[in-house]
Amino acid sequence: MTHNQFSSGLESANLVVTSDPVHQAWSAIEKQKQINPNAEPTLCNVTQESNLTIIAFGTPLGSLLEEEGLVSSSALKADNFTDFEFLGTKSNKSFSINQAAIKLFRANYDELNRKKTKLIELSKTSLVIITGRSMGGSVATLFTLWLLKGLDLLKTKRPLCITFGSPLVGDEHLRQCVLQFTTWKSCFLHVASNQDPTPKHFLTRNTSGAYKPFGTFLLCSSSGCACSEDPDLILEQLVTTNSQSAQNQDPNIEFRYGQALEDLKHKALCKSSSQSIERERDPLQASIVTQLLAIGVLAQQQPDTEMKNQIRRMKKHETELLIQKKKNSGSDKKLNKMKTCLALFEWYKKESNFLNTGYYDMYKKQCNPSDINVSEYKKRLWNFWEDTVTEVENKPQMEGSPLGVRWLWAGTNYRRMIEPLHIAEFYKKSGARNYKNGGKRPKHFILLEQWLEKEIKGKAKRQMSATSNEDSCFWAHVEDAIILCNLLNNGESVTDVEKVTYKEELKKFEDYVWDVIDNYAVCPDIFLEKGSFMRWWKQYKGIVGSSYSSQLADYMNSRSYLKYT
Amino acid sequence: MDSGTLGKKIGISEELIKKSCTLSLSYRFYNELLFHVDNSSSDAVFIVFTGSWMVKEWFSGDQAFGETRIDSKDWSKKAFPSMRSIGNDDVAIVNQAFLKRFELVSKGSEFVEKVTSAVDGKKPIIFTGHSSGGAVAVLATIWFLERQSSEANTGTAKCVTFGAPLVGDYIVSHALKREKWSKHFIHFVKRYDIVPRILLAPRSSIQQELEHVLRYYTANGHHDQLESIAPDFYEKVMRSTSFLASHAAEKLKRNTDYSLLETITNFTKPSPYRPSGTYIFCTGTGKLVHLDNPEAVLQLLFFSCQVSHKNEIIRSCINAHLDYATELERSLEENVVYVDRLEKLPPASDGSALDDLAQNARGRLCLRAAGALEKQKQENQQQIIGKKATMEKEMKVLEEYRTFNAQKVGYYDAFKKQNEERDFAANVSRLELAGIWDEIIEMLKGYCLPDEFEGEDSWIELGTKFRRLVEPLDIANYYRHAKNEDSGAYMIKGRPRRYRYPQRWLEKKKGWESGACGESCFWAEVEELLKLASNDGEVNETRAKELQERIAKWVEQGVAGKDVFLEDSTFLKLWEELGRLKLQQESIHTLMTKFTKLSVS
Repeated sequence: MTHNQFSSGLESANLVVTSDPVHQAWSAIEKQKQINPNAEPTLCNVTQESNLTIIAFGTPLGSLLEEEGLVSSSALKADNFTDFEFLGTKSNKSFSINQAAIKLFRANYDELNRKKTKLIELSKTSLVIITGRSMGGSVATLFTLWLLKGLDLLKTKRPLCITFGSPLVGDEHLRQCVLQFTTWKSCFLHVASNQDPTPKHFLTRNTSGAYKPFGTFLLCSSSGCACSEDPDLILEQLVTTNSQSAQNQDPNIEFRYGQALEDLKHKALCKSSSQSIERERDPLQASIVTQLLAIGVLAQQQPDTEMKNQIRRMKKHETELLIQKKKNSGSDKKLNKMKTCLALFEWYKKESNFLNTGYYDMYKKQCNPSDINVSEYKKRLWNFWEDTVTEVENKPQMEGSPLGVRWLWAGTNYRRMIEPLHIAEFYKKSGARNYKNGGKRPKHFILLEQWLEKEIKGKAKRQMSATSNEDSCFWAHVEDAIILCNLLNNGESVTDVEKVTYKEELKKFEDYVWDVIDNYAVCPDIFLEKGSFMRWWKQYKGIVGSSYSSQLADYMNSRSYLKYT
Repeated sequence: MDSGTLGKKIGISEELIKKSCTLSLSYRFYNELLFHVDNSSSDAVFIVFTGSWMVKEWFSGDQAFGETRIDSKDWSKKAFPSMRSIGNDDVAIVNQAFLKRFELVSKGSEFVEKVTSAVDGKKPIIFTGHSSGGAVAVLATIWFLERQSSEANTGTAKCVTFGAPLVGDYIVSHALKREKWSKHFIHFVKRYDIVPRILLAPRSSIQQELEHVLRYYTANGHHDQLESIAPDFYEKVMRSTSFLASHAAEKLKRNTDYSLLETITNFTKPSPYRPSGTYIFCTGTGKLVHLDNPEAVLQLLFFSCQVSHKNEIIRSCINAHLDYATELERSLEENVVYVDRLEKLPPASDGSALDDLAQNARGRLCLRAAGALEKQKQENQQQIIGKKATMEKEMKVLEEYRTFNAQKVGYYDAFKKQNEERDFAANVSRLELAGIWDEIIEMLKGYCLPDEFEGEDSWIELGTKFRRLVEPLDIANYYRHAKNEDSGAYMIKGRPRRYRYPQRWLEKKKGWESGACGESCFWAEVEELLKLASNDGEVNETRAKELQERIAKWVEQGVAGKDVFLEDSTFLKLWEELGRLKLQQESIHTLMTKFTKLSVS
């Protein structure tokens, strides 16, 4: 079988230079400079044309002379600056941002805040480009992250941030944080020429390895251009720039991106015979070699050893991306497998009813041969859902349920069916109490429940009994109530004060039970004769006395539950 | 790559191609004529479409590329019922001005009459045209093919165009392949002819230049201003072509889900038009290159028109459009190169005729990626075919389950009750099947299966069988768990795509209106009406009547089981309620009596 994998760097680059935004952004920057020849009063300028809004950031004089170091998010927090805290995730709590960029950002905070509010409003009707060159681009990048948080990307089109020759703004952790938002990376386009020293401005010996790029880079050279998202290639390319344009080190001499873009635009339409390659047979390798030729890294057709390593690393990067893509598309299939697993479990549930007990009590006793199979299903389902929930939880939380509706309901079914098994195991241990609020409840059950609550608000009353208990902790409540009954029945060791408390708690439980029965929120199998719930009721009845009357007591005494369906 | 004479491969002789070309070129400026029928040949009837040469006859309406949905008018909705994707229900987009011109053609008194008499004459019909005439010929051919009832009738019709602009989007290409009509369309394009690329640019960017160019064409080669506008015109059209080709190739080549491309295309919209049918590129060096992969054709439309030294060629890019006769005369004698197995095309040039059109590595990789996509689609289909055995096994289990319950309560209600172990086993089979079908639907959603898939009888049959057998179980499950109370009615909130799609396939095949094949989901309506009837007793009369009539029809046709009428079925509960409400229909009554008698005797 022929292996056909490619890399799209040349196509993306061609797409960028033949589309409008990059040219529009550059002319907005030029215009911004004309308005402010001395780069004095405002940091940025907003222009609006029909349904396009461009905000262009200028580069204040001397901003490149600022500190090259990185400042950590915890240091910023200590300094009472928390606007970027939202980027932090469970697995990536701390990240670092370039000090010069953050300084410029904070110095103009009020103005930027006003612009952000304005853009959030404008983005409902207009497309938005955020742009800047050099340090202006660094601030534009931070501003865009800030803006993205305020936008509802389901309702507005993604904004586009385009920087020209901007130094890198953050470290590997910041990069990871941004990547957690699946679509955000596609909002950043950084144009960098190998003849412009500013993009690698902060990449000195001191900071080597600390900075990491994110977003798409349009890497340009005199022989062409290619896009890349591969951080190693981008860094490599910026470092190579270092040696190639040593004579052009003065950062105040600005590289003319306008002219370079025009050249590339024309080049895109011309036949380039020089880029034909002789030897490559593998399409991925050939894709990468043509890209390296275009960005001027590879001059001759025969790559040397170092270059071969570079190509190997790039191939690895592309292959990893493809594996991730395949993994994403395979997840629905896995969910279907889990549904089948849950369906297999349903028979166990039914089987238990023949023994006049619910599956909760049957599982707790562990004396049925099918219990072994059930443990197996439980383990598979558990692993799947624990992983899924953890993965989702590690993403930064925005509004709405983090799982899609379909997944949320599948997760809910799992929780309602399987958590009782876990509760059964929990209460088998002697002395076990207070499952739900005692800190023992597994995290993924808690989250699945919270996400469901967020999803359904103001649901109408059910008209038919549930097929599994809506409250997946129902049995834990029953167990706790039985423990209370036992304590009360043991008489002597309990003080009078404790007795009152216990009775109050039992009354609370009684009310809870009545509420779930009245709402059809429990499964009829709780009323099976040999089940824990009926055991509780008998004990409770002994405590409150047979003349006790309440909605639940009347319901139970009149055996109305036989009609509960 | 393969070579040989053209006639055999594409089913039309060189003579007829030449004649099409001569006729197309001679009638192109007879604008008012709309079309002309030529009966002079003993081998075929030619229907020649004349060109239109005003900007507003190329771009009309207020869309950036002059596009419109093909069902935007009543007549066109009826004229082109197949021009959509079936499961996804995406409707084709076509050029509005060309559609309008075809409307004029088809509504004229003569056209239908002449086509009919050509069909009666038993000679093959060739729809042909140069430039915009070619675009109208495409629509006319689709219209013709839509009206032929069987493959035997469509067999000999051909559409031959010369330098025609693109007329429809990828749905047109998808639908032509699905209906197996692609081979009827043969488009000749000279590599430097700018016209086939024109509609890839937005009207606003080229309007002025286009006016000059079209005037230049009608004045037949004399126009002073051409020199000054030609470079601009070329550059604008080619930039848009390049943008679109890169857009398509990026999708083919990339290894990620999300990319900058999605953001960029919010700002700069690519043209919706895509090639369809078979293309034959004239290399200008006496060779013809044949391609039928539309993604590859799109790439070649860009790469083959790239220039290295500017001015002279740019001028000839405009002129190339006028003269197809000379080049065809020369090339048709030569062998034609058939480009296939693109997925194996080496990145470096290999000395074949394709080198003339795209010699650099980037272009060749794009063509290879186009081939790889097609190959991938084939492999995806193979993967599904590999699961047919499992599907049949599980369906057999469910069929036995249905038969087992047919004398008692009916499998719908047995499944809903879930009292026996076999009910649970049935649920596991249902989920196994659901998994496989969901995978198929997911692929169809992304157009990851061969275009022909939704038109293949074996899949339509399997889909129908699956739908009729399994969907009742999905509905039973839905109402058993009272999911309607959580999310809403099954038909609105719960019906999976795995049933919607196969239903549309069958409706399309039969030529029936949407909803006609609802025999697999009537249980959902039974449940909804029952819920209404037992809660507040109010049931919409029309709804009740319609449901009963449809059930009666389907049971009689044998597409729905008569187990509906079993004593303990949910339908019987509804029937009682309807009796109370005096809404029972006679048709059901008759059937019930008939079946009861049968079971008694």
